[in-house]
Amino acid sequence: MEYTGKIKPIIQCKNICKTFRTKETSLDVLQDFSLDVKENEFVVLLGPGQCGKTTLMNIIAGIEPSTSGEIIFEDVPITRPNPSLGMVYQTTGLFPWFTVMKNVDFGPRMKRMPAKERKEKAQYFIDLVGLTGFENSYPIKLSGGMRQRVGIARAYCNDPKVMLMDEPFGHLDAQTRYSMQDAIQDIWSKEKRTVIFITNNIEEAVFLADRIVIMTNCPSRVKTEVRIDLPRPRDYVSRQFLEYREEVSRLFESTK
Amino acid sequence: MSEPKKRNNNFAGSKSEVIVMAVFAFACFFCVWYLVSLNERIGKFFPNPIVVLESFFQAFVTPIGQNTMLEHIFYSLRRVTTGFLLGAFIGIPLGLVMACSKTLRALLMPLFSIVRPIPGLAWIPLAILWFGLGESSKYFLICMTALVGITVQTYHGALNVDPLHIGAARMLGANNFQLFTNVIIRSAIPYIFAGLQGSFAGAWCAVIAAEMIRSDEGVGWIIFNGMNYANTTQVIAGMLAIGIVGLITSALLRALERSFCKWNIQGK
Repeated sequence: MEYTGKIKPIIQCKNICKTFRTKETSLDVLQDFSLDVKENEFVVLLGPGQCGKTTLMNIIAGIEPSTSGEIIFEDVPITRPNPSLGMVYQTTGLFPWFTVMKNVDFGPRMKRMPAKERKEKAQYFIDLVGLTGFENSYPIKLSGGMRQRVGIARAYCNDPKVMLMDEPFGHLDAQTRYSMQDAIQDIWSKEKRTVIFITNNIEEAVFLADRIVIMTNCPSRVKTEVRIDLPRPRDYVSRQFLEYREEVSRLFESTK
Repeated sequence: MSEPKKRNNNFAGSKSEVIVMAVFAFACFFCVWYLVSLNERIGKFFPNPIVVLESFFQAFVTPIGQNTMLEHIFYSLRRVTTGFLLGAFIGIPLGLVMACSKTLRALLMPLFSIVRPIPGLAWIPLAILWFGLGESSKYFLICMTALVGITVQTYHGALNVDPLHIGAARMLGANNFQLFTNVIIRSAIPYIFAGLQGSFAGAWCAVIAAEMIRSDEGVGWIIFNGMNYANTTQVIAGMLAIGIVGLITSALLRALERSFCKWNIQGK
């Protein structure tokens, strides 16, 4: 393995706490959540619904402040949105007023990269996610799976060091979900990035992860971790896969 | 399958069916109008549709007052366009500014909230006292009428930007200015167009009112002049012109919206 011994994590969550307060009530969503992620590691956060996973993602991204604790990215605390982190959303968050091409090249465009270079780059990622021929379509014309592919290409095209994926396949039907899992696995093996991937689907977690971090119910902490030592691409029905699945399943069930 | 569903589908049907229905509705309307105008007592102040249509088309050739119908329409359109554009040039930036800057919102919103419920026509006396009876008072009146609706819609459009889009743009490295041009304005455009369309209808009403008060030309003048001479035919012909021009301009605005909002499902 490449990362034996004491290697410095690329991104660290240090004792993240988040409490939502209204006039009468206060709700602890995250309590002392800590996590180290190494470079090019595929980490899946597996947690029950409504356990503050999206909040955690927004805190890591710097969109939302935490109540206490900090996120360290390459030795610097994150306090505001950082383009070195790419986000893929559950509901895609594509800009409906831009075509696929203009969505994907959004990041480079903001950096004022010359048009030709930018287009070539965007085209590479559009091809990579398998949307060749849809460059000039508006998101409204695309299916859910295709929109998610645009979202992935858009995040990739901005050269992030870390990809944050917040239940990206949560809204898709089962069949599309399988094909997207294959796609993300394929894209990731071609374009290695550090990935933090949120899901509540055990099979998806075992299929994708180097390491599964199981979260407790609200207020969320890290309950336990499972390292998945299986060669990629993985087979959903191999004996080892099913064993892992059962193990994770058992650990996950006990969080509820 | 079920009877009512089928009937419904048949009705909603094709474009040609819709046109047939429209023609049928007009035919019925004209028949009723014709029959009513046959009555001797009513007919005295209610000319039959043939006379009205005749005089409407005649007006394109022989002038009413100083001008032909086309010239009258041109005068009215020039007034409404000037006032309306003035309103849009003030209203759109005003709405955007109030949505984007908390300070300016706090400063301007109270003022705007008081001006907002004042109907455009309530500005008539001030318009006349400040700007006299010429063109500028009409521009002012139309501008004030259009301004409010455009500002409100722009404001709401810019305020209702999906936070997800703002977050996404920030994550992709957009600065404040880029966020404004690439996200906030873009997502406000359908709202702005709704505001423009609604306000244009209002502005078109205002130009008629302005012309009825004091002018020597325009479609508003046609109907007011008709009333002064008890010429109901001229009044109704003028109203017909108002309706037709209003219809055409709103169709043009919709076409403009469609080309601007290709991405929007409502723009389809």
